[in-house]
Amino acid sequence: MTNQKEGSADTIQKEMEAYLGIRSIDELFEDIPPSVRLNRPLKLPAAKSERDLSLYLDEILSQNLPVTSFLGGGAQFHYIPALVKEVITKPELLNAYTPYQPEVSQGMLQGLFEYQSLINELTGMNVTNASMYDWPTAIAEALLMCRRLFNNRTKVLLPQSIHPDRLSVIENYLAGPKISYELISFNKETGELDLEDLRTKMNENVAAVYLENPNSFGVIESEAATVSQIVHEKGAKLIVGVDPISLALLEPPANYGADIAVGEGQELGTPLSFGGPYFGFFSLNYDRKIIRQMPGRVVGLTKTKDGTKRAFVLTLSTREQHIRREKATSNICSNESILAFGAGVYLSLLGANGLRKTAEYCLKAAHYLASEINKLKHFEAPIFKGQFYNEFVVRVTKGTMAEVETRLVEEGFVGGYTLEKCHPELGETAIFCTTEMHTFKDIDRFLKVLRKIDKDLGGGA
Amino acid sequence: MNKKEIIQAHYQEPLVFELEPTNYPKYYAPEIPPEIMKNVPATDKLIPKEMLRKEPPKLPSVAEFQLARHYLHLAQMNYSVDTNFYPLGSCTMKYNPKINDFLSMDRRLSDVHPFQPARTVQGNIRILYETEQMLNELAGMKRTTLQPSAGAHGELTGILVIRAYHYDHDEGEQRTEVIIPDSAHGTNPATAAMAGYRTVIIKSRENGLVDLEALKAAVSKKTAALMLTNPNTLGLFEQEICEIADIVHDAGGLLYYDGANFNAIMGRCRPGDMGFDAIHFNLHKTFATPHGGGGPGAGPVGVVEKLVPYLPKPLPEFDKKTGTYYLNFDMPKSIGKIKGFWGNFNVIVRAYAYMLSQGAEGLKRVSEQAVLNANYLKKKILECNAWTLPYAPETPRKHEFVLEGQKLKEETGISTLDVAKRLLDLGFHAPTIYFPLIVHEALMIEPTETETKQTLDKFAEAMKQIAKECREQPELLVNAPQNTAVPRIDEVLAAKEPILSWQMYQERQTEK
Repeated sequence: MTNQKEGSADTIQKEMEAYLGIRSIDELFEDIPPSVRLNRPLKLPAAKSERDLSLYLDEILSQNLPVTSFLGGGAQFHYIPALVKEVITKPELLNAYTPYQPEVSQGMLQGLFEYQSLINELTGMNVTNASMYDWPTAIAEALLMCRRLFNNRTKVLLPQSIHPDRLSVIENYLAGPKISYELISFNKETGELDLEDLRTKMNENVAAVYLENPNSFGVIESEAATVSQIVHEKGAKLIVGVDPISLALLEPPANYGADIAVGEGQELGTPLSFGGPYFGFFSLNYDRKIIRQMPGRVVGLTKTKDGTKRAFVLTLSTREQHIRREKATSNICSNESILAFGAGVYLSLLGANGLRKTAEYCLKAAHYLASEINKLKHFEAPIFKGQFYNEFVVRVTKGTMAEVETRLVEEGFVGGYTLEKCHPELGETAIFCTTEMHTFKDIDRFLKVLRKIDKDLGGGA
Repeated sequence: MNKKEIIQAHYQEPLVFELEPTNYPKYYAPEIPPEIMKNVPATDKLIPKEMLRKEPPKLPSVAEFQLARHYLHLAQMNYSVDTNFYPLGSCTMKYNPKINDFLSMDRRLSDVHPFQPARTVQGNIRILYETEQMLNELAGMKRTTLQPSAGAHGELTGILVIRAYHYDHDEGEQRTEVIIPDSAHGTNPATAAMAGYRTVIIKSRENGLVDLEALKAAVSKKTAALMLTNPNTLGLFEQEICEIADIVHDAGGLLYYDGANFNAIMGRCRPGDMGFDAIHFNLHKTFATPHGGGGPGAGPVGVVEKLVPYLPKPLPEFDKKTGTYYLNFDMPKSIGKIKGFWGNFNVIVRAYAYMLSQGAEGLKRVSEQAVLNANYLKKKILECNAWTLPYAPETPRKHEFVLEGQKLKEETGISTLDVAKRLLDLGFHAPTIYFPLIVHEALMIEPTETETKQTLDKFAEAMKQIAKECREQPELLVNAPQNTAVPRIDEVLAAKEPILSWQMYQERQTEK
């Protein structure tokens, strides 16, 4: 029998206080020294009703300008099927904590196990962890992991083409363990990694080399297998950053020798949301020793103790901070589980055919857009000869890319991410990206505006 | 014998790879426009042949209706705070208001690219700006970066900012140690190690608080920082916080506040006023953003004035002259970036909505109710006479309390793990167990403010029943849980013979 409710909410509170033998809640805070007590109200707005909150947010969001953008550079606008949105907002999944009690968390654990396995199909490996914060931190953690696999190797090599934000994150992660890095230049003609420069910089002090494929210029690294050979000849590890949707068309990194594959999972069912939350995937091939150095949580398949049922559980946790403390492989605790779960839904729903079609759309729309831009008098696209996936570098040969961007915004468009700060040597450039969200009409309207801008730039070069 | 209650669905749910393949109705990806198909070469001409994928990935070939059922079944085998009480200590599993989720799904938020020019995202930058202002006020800090993805990520950011400060003052090489109490969260020492510091662990006193003498002995010109959470993981307020701050500051070190326990003190006191120099907030704990079965979270880091120059860039700013918001990248001493883009915006929006709907009074009330609930439940459970309250039993706890199950174990052989599993049978999520490490057979209980007295009473009754069962029907505990989706799981087997994917599972099957 449940107790009948007695009295109002206020009397219940009084009952609780009486039970504790206190006259007011203040007594529970009396051990806070008077000198640090806040003896004034917080200077925050008064409470808003749900209606007023909605109206307030609506007003704020009306300050955003709707635009059609061709931005990429680590976040891409892709279609999110309704099923993905529905599943990852189910309260039983969304409002759970990390599955510390596996017997009541089989849903989350099985979904994450499936996610891990689905990513493996893309990377060609057999272990993927339950997610990292995002792509940049996944790269950084992969580099730290490779450093731990060696006693004396204290250096890593990174591509010079890497996005400056990713490089900045990596620098912060390398600072503590005092790992140094060098940049490998790119071939000015193809935009691919400069193999000669890689050979020169490879030595027995290098723990890992990070390659992006496609790289930050959108160029596909056609000689990835040779890179792998050069890296492995010196006994170092190869980490490859990949675009997950592109892997419907491109070789899985495991096939050309990657030891760890990482990438931005946002494309797989996570909204752009002005930059986050996203999730990083982290894959490798199982090895009893190496796995001990992997960062992050991982779900394993096991049995119930009575042996009757298959069951899922977070495992290999002796690597983690709550057990190993200062000797842990990483301090990561919260990750991006529900987004990874959603990526599992996304990949299962699209299947190999849906994913391939999406990838081909991205690829072909980019090639169409690039070739049309290249027809303009004052634009070159792509500026590199290397073959590309769905991002490519555009150069404007008269005026500045910033001016072009300003004109575009006036017409309701955002072009690419400008490279003037990180690669001034390339001239006035920006990296453009297309996805299956760009209809022909979008692309056509965008090209019309670009043609107008091109015309306004006038005759001479 | 108690009759078996079903508290969760029991499906023998196949893996998504094991669902029956079908191609009806198929999923339609958008068609490539004919104008593009006409003008662009075939796919295999656009990709270098050595990079062209030879075999398609073996993804499931199933229809939406099969998946809808599959995931519904999975959800029905998952416990959440919407299911029932979730007293997971240190995790602040409060109810997450639905309006926050709804607002965060607005397309004007969700479909915005982070690199869009500021003039097209004035609303978004304003949300970042106002969220920061509110967090600054709550913690008594000068500025707050919203960039870090989670609590541990915030810790790393804070310690790297402190590190940058010391280097900028030519003490970087000299200050190599971070001091951490033995009651600290595991992320603290892991963070310090990741940032390149040696950790110095100091023991707690018999009253559960920082030992000032031990702290005095530990600080030196090598001290970079002390990492502390207040109230600490026992739920006790560090009453000598001012003395602690003085000791660390006098040695030239800085104080870092682990904000995991911030739900205890809102509107009552502020880390900045206690002498802390940096703090991270866990938006997914204190500010009611859903934790998603492990993430995302968000771990903004607030700092005092002297640390502001080193914060990650950019910071959101408002230009009074033009009345516009912008992201300020002009921070020459900044540590740079700690993750891609500007932070977990979709989480930040929910926390923003939460703070606005609570208001100043409401947030203070949150902490009051959380503390009242914790002390009420603590007293109720202690009446079972089965668990003890180690460290300063007479001092009120704040938002959580830690029970010791050592006596119960010695008397009955029943471990805290068994108790936790039995709680699952009775329809509750278990508390955090075996943490903090300074309590034997620990049960760390945090009820939060969003629970009724009736729920707390029921939980206390369940604990009382368990205490009785320990003596009279221990098999109920040892064999628990029985009412959940699956009975107790063999975690040792999972670690000994790891099967970490469908691919490894299949390999294992063929080996056999």
